[in-house]
Amino acid sequence: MVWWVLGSLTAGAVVSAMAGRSRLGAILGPAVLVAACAVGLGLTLSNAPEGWTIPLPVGAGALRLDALTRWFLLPLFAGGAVVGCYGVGYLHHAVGHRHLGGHWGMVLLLFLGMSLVFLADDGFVFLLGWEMMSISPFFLVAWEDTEASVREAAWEYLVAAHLGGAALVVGFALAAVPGGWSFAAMRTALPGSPLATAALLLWMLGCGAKAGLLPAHVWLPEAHPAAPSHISALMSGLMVNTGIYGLLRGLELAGLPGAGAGAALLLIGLATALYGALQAMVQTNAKRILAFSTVENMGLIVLGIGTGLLGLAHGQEVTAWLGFLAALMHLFHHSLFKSLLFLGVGVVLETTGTVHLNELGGLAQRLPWTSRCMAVGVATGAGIPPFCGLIGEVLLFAALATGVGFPDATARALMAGGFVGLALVSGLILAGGVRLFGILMGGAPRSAKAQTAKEPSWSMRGPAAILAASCWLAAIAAPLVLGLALPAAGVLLGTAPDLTPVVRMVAQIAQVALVVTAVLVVLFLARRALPGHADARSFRTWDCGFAAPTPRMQYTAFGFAHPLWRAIGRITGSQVMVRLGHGYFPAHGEVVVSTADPIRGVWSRLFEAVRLGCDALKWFQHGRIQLYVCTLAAVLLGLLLWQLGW
Amino acid sequence: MLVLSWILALVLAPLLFGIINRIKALMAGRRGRPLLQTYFDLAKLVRKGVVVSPTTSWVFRLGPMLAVAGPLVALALLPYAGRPGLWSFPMDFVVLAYVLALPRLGTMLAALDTGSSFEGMGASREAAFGALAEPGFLAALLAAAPQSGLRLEEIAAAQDLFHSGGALVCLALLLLLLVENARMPVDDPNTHLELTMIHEVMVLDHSGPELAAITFGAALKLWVFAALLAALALPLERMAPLPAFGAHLVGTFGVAAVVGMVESLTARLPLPRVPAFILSGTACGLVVLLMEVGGGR
Repeated sequence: MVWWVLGSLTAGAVVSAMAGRSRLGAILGPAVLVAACAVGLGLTLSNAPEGWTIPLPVGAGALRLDALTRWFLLPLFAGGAVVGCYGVGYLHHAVGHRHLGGHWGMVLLLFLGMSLVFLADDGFVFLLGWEMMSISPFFLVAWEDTEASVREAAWEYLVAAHLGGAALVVGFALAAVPGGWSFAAMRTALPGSPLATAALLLWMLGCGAKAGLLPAHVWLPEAHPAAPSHISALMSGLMVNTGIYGLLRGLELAGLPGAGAGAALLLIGLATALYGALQAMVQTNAKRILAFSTVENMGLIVLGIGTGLLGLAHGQEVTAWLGFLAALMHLFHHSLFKSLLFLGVGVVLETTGTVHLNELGGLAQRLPWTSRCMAVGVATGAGIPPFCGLIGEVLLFAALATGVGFPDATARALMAGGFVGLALVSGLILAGGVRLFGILMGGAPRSAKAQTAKEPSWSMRGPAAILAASCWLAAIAAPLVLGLALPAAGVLLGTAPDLTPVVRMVAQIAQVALVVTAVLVVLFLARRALPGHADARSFRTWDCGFAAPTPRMQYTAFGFAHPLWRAIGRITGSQVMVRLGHGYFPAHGEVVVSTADPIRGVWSRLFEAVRLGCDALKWFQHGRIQLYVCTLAAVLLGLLLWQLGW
Repeated sequence: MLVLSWILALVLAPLLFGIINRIKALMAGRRGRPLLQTYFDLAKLVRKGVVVSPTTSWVFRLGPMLAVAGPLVALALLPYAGRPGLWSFPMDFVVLAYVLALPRLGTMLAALDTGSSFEGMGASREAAFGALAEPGFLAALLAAAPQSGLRLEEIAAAQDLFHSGGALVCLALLLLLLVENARMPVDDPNTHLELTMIHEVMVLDHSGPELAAITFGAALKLWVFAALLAALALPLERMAPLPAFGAHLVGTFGVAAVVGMVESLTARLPLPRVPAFILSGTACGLVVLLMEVGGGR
């Protein structure tokens, strides 16, 4: 079955790219994607054999399907099928005049790369998949290549992906020194070797950049929003998972490190989560808000991993399991709700042409389906019952709370700090989610664009509805989902201690979710029996005595965040400049809000340096074919001489 | 007994507002409105029709349901009279905090759905203060948790007012109760000026049974906080079942009386100073947590 998946993705990518602008190019890619994902889901959930080898020109590469891989393949294939359907609707305007075949070919290549990363059982296949996965989004992000900001974002993505990739290549080269490139050899030879720490650090760097951990997150809020919305959903919901997977696989290969690494990951995770949540609170572009929310959620996942490592280092097995389970569960839930939210914002972008909160509003009335799905996504992200986000967050709280009883004082302090910090993050997420949904969907339209918004075709509404339903189902069926996560955590932690209390806790939370649903249904039915349900009179919003309110007088996106910004938000670097008019009847006044990420300023120098370096190589891009052929021949000759031992 | 405690909560929750108002009236030398005024209001509202703004959507109609559903489910998580609630599992105090966020979510979204600048203002303040209060609430309960367990029932059993950090934990929860339930000095439930309101301004557009739902939800939420505080402050688990039941009830009303006294004696804080007030509540919990981190459990 694995060959069907990989083979169809490869063949589909090639054929689709050749289909070009034809009608076939618009359909073939998504069809292959959905089919491959369906087969892939079957493979993930079946009792398929564990290992395969692929014949590569450089020697046999190994693939393996263990429980950890299965856990990461599950959201990949499930999300891929859904997003594929959505993409057809999202791109239907482009059929005939844009190169859709190439676009979908790159999507298939991205999926091939991600599948290989998860399935790889040696360093070479892993890096091969990683490279496919790093290159293809560049072309996907640069879809609207007529806009300078999109080209800039695609460029930043390319540089960041390759700086991270370079760290991974060196990391694997170091890890291969004691035993060789296969993961099995690394597992036996690497732990305890002095190279293990160096390799692990490089892996953390490369994977952290992919997942968007502080301070290497800067490319993510640029690239994810610039892409077309189904690609944003793929990148933010699914591709970031590869960063976490690489980190976990690296930990497994190099042997789980001690308390120092755990504390470092805990602090990095917490800082990332807080920073992401605060930025999501002040940004005014809906897609950037979602991208920063991805940064924040990756922070929470790494916080869980750090907590788990810290627990393991102090011999507290239950804390270790809780930490890793929290990370794995939250990762799955994040894939669901972040894809959902990007699909929802994609609908808004498609129908109104903008994602700036201050130009939107009033969409709950105009987009009844999409707004309901988005509400589910926002509630899931904030951990509100009855949706699945609650499960991962409670597990994370549980891991940190058990850590407050550790014998070691430093670990206790870290865990207590993590607990309080996590509570602040969770409060901020709710505030940010209300802001996103309330300003985007609530109130009156703030511009003519939002006034005429309409629901799109079912190919775009259906996928969002499926994801919204999954957010609820994953909460009700949480014990089942946990059952799949347990073996995945077992790959890292070995045999489990007695986890019945944890399993029972999750089952009880699922019950709470079920009861919240039941109570809401009963209230809904009861409401119909009371007066004023169907026969409500209509009258304009209470205007507090001011007789001429306009939509422009509503709270703006930054206005809503202002109290929090004033209390704790200045760290985000956003600034407000107020210029008021003078005199008794001031006619003109303005408020300018800038929400630039200060950390990005530091990195842009590096990006600039890379750009200059690349520009310096342009002299070679002269277009004289005879010189290119000559160079090729010279390199081949050099290689030949080297092989001959000269 | 458990079922009886729920029925009592549902029946008696609106009385808390009556007690608070009666205490305020007594301290101001007035007679005050009837003790049962909230019941009269609810009965009146349920029979009334509804006016809905054409700006609003399904969000506006959903808000009041969330406002009731959250506290209703929270009641089932609450330990009663020294005994566990319907659910009692490790980390149930975190689930309690999330369930109690439902009414806040509902009222904020409904407020933004009206498109009124005043209601947006209320939602903005509620979002900020709610976010800042969350760490305080959870830190206080974690600090109160004994080594043996992380259930609300065990937390309530391990704490009482005159034992180690109990006083500080109770003070933290009292301050956060004032924040979460929109009481003085954070919010003034009796103000008549929309500019200074938080909770009241968010529900300006609701009417009829929907306003009744929000009022009843607010009463239930106050009941949950007051009953939790009473369970922590009193050594209920060491009493016989019936006296414990009575003591918990009296304790819950006692908390309402304290809230009434606080409202009579303090003025409303300027809004920019509210975060500092929330921080002082959080600090009380953090001090106890720090003592545990420093000394081990």
